[in-house]
Amino acid sequence: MTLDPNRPDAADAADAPMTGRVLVVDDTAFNRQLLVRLLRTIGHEPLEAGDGSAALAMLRDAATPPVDVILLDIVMPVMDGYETLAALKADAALRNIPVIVISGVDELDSVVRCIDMGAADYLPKTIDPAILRARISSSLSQKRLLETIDRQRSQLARFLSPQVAALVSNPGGEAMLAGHRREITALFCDLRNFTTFSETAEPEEVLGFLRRYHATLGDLIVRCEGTLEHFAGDGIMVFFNDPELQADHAARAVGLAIDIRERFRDLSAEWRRRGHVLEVGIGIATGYATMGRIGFEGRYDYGGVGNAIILASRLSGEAKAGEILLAQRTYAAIDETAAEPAGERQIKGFSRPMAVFAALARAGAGADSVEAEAGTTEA
Amino acid sequence: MTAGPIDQAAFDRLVEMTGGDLDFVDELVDTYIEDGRGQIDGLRSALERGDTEALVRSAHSLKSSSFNVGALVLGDRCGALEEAGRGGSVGDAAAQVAAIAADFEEAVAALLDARATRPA
Repeated sequence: MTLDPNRPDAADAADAPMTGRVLVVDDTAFNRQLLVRLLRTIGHEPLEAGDGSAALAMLRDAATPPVDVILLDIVMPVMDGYETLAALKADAALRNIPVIVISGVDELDSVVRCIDMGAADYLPKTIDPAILRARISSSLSQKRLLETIDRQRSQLARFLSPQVAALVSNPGGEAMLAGHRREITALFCDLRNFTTFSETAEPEEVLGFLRRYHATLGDLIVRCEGTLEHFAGDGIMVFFNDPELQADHAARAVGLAIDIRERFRDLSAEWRRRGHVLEVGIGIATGYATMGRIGFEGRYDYGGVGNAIILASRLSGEAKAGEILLAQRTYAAIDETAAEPAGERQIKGFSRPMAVFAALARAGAGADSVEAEAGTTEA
Repeated sequence: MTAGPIDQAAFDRLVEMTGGDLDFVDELVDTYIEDGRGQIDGLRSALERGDTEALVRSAHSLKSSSFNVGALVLGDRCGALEEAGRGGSVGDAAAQVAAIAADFEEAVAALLDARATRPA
């Protein structure tokens, strides 16, 4: 077969709008030759395979460049179109490649079966270049759109809490973002002596410490499915029961706080050896807050407004090194053996002194208890 | 011409599809002939083995490429065998395969003749 040496090469073709790499799977050399030629003429880069198993081997071979669309014949020896389609759809790495089934007009039943199995479209066997062009172009644009959505979603997820990223990218999320009232448990955590540390340590040391601190906390927050509102230097704020409902939100927050305290013990021991005394203080409060999008056009955060949030922040400020202070409503919602009264405090901004409680270590909790706790916080 | 082994309008469509590149059409016809001989062999050996599934598959393949080169009579005959095979009652399969082989040779002769007599 003659190949036109003046055709744009693969890389150029992939960058051009609505052209892509198309794998032709057909056992008849005549059909492959014709399709390959037509695909090349309309600017696509064709690849070919003689049956389903050859196609799968090719797609799974790391040396094969990514394929954008598959043209699949149904009746083939060795591995037919149905088996191939089923294998493609069962493979997470290949499932999103649109499959266009090539079918005779007398095979509409097969087409329906293939579309039920996840094929994107079909092409008549008596090939019409205009239809070929249109079907491939439509499958390509569908694939590009899905890729864009996937890319945006994973980029969003790097900047936002997974729960908030899901709200932003789902059509139903808008109402939640617009604002809603919800009982939440808020957790504030910050470091004692962090200001002194950051003044006396080298900036690289401070950043290195924060990176490890954030990585440690981030991991724990994801595990207990908390919604991270922000990281600000040494301070973090996490919500529970919003946007996703969690019946055990107070217990989850207290569980997270205990995990943080235990993990932090190792981290701080290491820093103490270098002459820096860093300790964590945590405040937790439960109550109603208005949750949603806060900010202005161009820069929004997902956040909340309510007394519980202010109280959690103040309790975090009140907490001594290694202490986890709970407000009354949080204490009321958890197992009473998990915390003990810690007296009455006059909290700034609140008119009357209030009873506060200190979370205890878990019964039987040792240095290795973090793994075991994951189960209880997720109950 | 429509009554002959090759339908001129269908063949012209193939030429048009290639953008009028007759060299490429010749290559396609060569591939068709080579493929077709393979399918005829496939039909015969399926017949010998009594393998209906293979019979259906070969008939199916020959049908689609025959339609694309304009061998409509042959394509229809392959389609009839394919359908009968799928239905499970091939009837006189040997006679049908023989008729397909004869039609195929006629189609090949017509295709090669058209190429030889084509104005340069």
